Amino acid sequence: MMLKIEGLSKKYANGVAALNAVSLDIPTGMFGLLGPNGAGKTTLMRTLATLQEPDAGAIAFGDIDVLRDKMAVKRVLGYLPQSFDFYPRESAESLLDHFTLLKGIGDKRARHGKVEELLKRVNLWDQRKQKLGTFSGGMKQRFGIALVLIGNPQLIIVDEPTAGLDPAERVRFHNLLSEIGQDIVVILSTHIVDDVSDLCPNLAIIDKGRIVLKARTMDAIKAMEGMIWEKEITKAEIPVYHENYDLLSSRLFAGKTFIRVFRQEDPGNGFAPRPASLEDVYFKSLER
Amino acid sequence: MFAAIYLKELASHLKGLTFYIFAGLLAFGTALFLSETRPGVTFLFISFGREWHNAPIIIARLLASYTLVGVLFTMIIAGRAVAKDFSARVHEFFFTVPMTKLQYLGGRFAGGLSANLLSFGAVLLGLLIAGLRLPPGYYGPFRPWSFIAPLLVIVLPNLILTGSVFFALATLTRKMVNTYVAGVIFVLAYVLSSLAFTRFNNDLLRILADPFAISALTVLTKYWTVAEMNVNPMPLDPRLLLNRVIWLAAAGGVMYVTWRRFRFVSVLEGKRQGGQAIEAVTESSAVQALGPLMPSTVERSLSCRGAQFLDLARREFKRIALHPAFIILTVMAMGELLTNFLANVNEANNEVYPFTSFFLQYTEHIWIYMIPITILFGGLIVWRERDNHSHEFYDTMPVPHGLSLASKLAALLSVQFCYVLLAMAIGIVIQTGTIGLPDIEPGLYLKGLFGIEFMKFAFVAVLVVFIQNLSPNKYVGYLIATGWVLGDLALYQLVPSASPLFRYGHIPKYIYSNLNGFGHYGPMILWYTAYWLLLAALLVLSASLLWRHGNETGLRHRFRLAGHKIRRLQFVWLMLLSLSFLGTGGFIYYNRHVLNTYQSTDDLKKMKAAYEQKFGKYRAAPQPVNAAVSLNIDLFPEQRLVLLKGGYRMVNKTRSVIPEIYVTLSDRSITKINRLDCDPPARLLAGPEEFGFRVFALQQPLQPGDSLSLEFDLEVGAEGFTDNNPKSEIAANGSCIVCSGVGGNNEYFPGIGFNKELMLTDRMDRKRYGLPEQDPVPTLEAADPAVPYGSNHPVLYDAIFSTSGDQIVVSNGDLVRQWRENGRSHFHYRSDTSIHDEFIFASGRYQVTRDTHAGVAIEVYYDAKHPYNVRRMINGVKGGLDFCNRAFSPYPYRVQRIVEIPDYMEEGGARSQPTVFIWRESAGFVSNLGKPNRPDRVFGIAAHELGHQWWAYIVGPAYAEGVYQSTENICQYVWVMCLEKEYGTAMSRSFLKQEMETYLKRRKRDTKGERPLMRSLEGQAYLAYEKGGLALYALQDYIGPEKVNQALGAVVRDFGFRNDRYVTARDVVDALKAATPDSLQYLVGDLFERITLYENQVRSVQARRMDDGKYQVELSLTCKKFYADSVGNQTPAALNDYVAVGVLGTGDSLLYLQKHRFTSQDTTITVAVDAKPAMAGIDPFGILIDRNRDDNLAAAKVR
Repeated sequence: MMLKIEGLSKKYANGVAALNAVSLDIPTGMFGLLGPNGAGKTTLMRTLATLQEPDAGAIAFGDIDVLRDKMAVKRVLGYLPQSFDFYPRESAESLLDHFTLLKGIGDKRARHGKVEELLKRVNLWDQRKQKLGTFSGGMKQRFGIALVLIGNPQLIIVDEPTAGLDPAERVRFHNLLSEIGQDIVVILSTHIVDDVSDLCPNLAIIDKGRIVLKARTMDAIKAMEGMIWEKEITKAEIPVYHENYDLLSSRLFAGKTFIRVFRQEDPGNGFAPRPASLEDVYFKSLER
Repeated sequence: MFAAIYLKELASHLKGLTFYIFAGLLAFGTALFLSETRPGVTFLFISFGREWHNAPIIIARLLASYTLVGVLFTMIIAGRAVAKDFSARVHEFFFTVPMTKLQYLGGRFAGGLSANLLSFGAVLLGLLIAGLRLPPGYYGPFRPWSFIAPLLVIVLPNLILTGSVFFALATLTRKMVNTYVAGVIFVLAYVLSSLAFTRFNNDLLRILADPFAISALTVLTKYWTVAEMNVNPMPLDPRLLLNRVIWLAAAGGVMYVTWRRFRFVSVLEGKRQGGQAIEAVTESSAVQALGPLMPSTVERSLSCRGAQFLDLARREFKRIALHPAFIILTVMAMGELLTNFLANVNEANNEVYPFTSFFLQYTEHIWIYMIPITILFGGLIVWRERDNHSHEFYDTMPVPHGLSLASKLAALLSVQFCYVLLAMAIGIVIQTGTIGLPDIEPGLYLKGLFGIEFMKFAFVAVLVVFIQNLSPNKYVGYLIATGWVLGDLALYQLVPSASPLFRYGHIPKYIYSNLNGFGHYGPMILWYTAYWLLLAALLVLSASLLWRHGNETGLRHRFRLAGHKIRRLQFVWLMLLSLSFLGTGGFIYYNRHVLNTYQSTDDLKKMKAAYEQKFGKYRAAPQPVNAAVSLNIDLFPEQRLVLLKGGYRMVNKTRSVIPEIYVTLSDRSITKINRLDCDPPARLLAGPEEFGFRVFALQQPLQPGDSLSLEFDLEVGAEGFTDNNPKSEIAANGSCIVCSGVGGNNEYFPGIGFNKELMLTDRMDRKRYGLPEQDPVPTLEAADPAVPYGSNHPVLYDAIFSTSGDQIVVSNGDLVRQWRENGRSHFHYRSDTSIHDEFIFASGRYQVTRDTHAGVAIEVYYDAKHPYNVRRMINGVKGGLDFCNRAFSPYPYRVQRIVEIPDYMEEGGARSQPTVFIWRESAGFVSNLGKPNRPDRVFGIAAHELGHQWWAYIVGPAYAEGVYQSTENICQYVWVMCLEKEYGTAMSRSFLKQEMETYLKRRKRDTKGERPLMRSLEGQAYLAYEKGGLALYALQDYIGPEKVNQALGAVVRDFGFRNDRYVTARDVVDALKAATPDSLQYLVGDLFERITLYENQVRSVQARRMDDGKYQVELSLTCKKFYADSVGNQTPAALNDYVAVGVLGTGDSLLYLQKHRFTSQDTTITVAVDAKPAMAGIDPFGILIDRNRDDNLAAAKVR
């Protein structure tokens, strides 16, 4: 099943065009939606998750018209919002049971089996009796994934899931996501480039409501191979380089400033070649 | 540092809107209330008598009440003082500034307190505005101290106390919501405890227990007269000051704890951190294979929907039920219900059996709590997911909007249901604990509590959910919901005639009667319930279409979406519900306005004014009087139909020729007039006009001494239902129609002449409708003794009734025949002795108890459920017969009947007519008199009503002031004398003590101004009843009961059965004077001709044992006498009075009781007694009127 988005536009009351004629075909497997804060990622995710209405455009998931038949979408949807919390006095097991029922697993025994399976999968089985109010951020995020996985969803949307997680939790989270399966559509919306490069064979980059790049992740990186150069400079020099080079990024490493530039041939001037990364693709895309 | 924090805090409040809103409300409320000139308007439990509206005590009580309702403001100010730092998350900045806890907390608290106190300055503005608006005479000079004293002594300590509690809660828990809960609890706890404490007779306890000192002000000034209220400053009684010290100390304690426990730390240590879930850190972060998920099926079946609904509802219900605010509110509500019900059941003056019907009248107490609970939790559950930030999970679950709405509503309704269930449990517990109550009536609980009260709650729940669903946030929702409640109340206050069709969820008031059940209220309740149920269903359906979902929640968006997604079926339902709602409304309107005439109080007044303006000219026109009534009446109680046929034979007793007859026959009550004519026939010259006024021109003018008949054939049927004039006299069981004389005010019988009782009496009303001031009731000096008070003519009575086969008709006179015909019961009543021109008939399924005493048959007709006090009633009649036969004259009839009438009848407690009196069910039939030492009021009322056979009927009062002197006063005397004879002096004394208390409290509330007993006016009930009995009892205590009875007997002999001369108060007082020795003539004057109060006091009692074993007792006594004017200005009176001096031994044995003559204020009296004295004093049994009777007796110091 494929998710087809066509000409999706959304303008908010304050005049911000959050989506501007967005068209995307999203195949099964992990799909990364990369973009800076405020690019329109969340608007797009919420629209896909039936939480918002676009001004124009159409979305089809298989034969489901996402904008019309929301109930049908919800039955196959797993959505992990960008920010969420839970009723703090409820235990993990009880709340998961609740959502499992809401998802439509009415049979009690099947539900209990599902709850156990999911809690084990997200590694919260031992904490199942604990109140959600006592959970750490990473545990809550994993609990969220358990909710997403209820009822074998065909379409999973996770919005900025790793923001604020410590590295170990992030790895665990990636691990979970990568297991979800290759034959369903999983959309990972993030501004963290590594999330996408770690997980997603396909990606799109969105900026100011427009899709600026659609590609297979490997192809996008390969296309820039041999064109990325790096140099150590002083901070004060940044404006000069900015003017003269296609400056992709500057970063600090051990107190020193390193810049990366894009140029098809060797720029000389002390620049050293570097292997291309998705980050380079990302920054290059945003320039346009 | 302190000053800086203080000033910053103060300034922040003065910049905020809340301050000005509260100050504005204070100014507005004060101005509006104090400029109120209509009598009886109550605001915050304060109402005016004749005192100045800016009397110091009024200002003090107003300010004290403001601190109570101002709790809402105080909690915002005091709570926010510190909590705002936490909610804005700037506390860490403050906590890193170098300052002490005392500076920080103290500065914040003091700043808030000052702002709070400042806002009370607005009351001054209100006082000023009211002063400008009021006509002269309502306002006295303003004295600054009358504002400053309560501000310092009442307001400031109250604000410190409430403020410290809120401040502590907000500071220590760092959450505002706790202060809101505390605020609610504070107010409720106050109401609860004040209700509980009013039942205590201990004044000191009542003064000290009230943290707001509101009851202290009431208790300390309970006997104040108008004059004292106008002049006296707020009393700085030591007990009041002690109250202030105690509660300030409590506030100090709270503040100390706050200061001790407060920490400058960012996060409170506690559960959250300590309880953090610990996870195994050994878990590998390496990628591991988990395999695919197990397959599962997503259902859409109905059973799954059912399970989802139950699970959602159950969780919501649990969250509410375990919420501390809910638990506290419920406990308090049930506590209040219990206290209130017990207090009312055990009311000192009328203890009643806790019938289920009685219980239903106290459900308003659950209502008071249910409203805030529903508003609070309605908001919480609608916003729950959003408040928990989990709404995006919920909104992406495949659950229809209707289901989540339904589950939330169901949770709220279940809470209300449990609530009502608890209330019922309390009722049943009380009933089970009462000995002698036969029946708990679960069916009535079901109908009354669940069928009516619960439905009303449910309507509110739906509205709250509807409002919260549309509102942009929870707080606006709260605001709108609260606004609706207050607006509805305000509407009801301002426009009492506002149609109940526009008051959402309102079902007009009903009174359940054990005789008639829900009776004619039944269809009304059902239709209104259906009406609101349909609207509620409409609201639910709209709410489900407009349900808040997802991330775009603007109203315009939701309406557009609803338009898209509405299905045909839903649309059909929407239309169907709207149409049925409008249809039901139309049907109710049709019943209220077409089948019945709807008349607001103002409409009625307008009609009365027009009646007087048009026909007042006939007021003095000579008219014939009634000499005989013959009736043929068919009652169809089940159809609520009465066919009235009959006629009056009228005689021209005037000296002039009468050319025209004026008839008033209220057509708002009569359904059909088949015949209304004179015999010989007369020509209808004019009418019917207002109140069916008609003028008949006689063919042959009626010569003096000649007679003619007025004949009528009328139908009175109650059609449909209405909340306004529902003709409750005609009922399926317990119909009762009273004809108060053909010249009186009758709903169902034609009246002769211009009806004076239809004239407006209120001065303001008369002014508004352009009527001249009414002629005052003639003074004794100007009275014409030939004019009776009301109509008063001996009339021959002959009436044949028919009613349903299972009912009995009770009426006046002798029952000459009783038979059955066509399955209907027939009764023929006749009086061969002329009865007074008043008659009555009642029809019901009555039980009858009969007895005979002194040749008089005594019959009580009552409902099978109410057998309790029938014996006492009969005994009361017997006691009354014994007393009155001997004291006045033989009872002139062969029978005395007592008939029970339903509670909704507006006939007061009991009402006497020749040979019969009607008695409302809860005014005596269900009184629980099982406990010893309670004055037997049922016995007393029966004796009192029997007394009216002499003092209203045999002896008719003349039209003059002092009408009570020859009626109610003497009947009260009969009451207390019979009570004393039956039960002994202990009971009569405890009864008189209650009476004295009531008299002293009521006199200041009298808007007419107090008058001497012999000049009392209609409406001065405290003179008619309480003081009347006290005065005659006191007189017989001085001159002996035989003398009083002889004097009254002489009046009966002189005036009995006469219709040429009626008795005035002067005649009664003169007769009493004639029976009184010269030395006590002053007393008769003091009791009846003047308003007299004593201040008797015993200063010390010294006793010494004599050699012969006797004791010599030396009493230092103070005796002061005052004469009071109409507002209670007292002038000292010269003393030459006899007052009792008494010495009591152990166990209250009477050792000495003798009247002594007092000529000076301070007197020392020495008496010798046989046994060791315990107590001694002046007027030991409180016979004389004295505002402080507690100091009449003192313990004897025996040497």
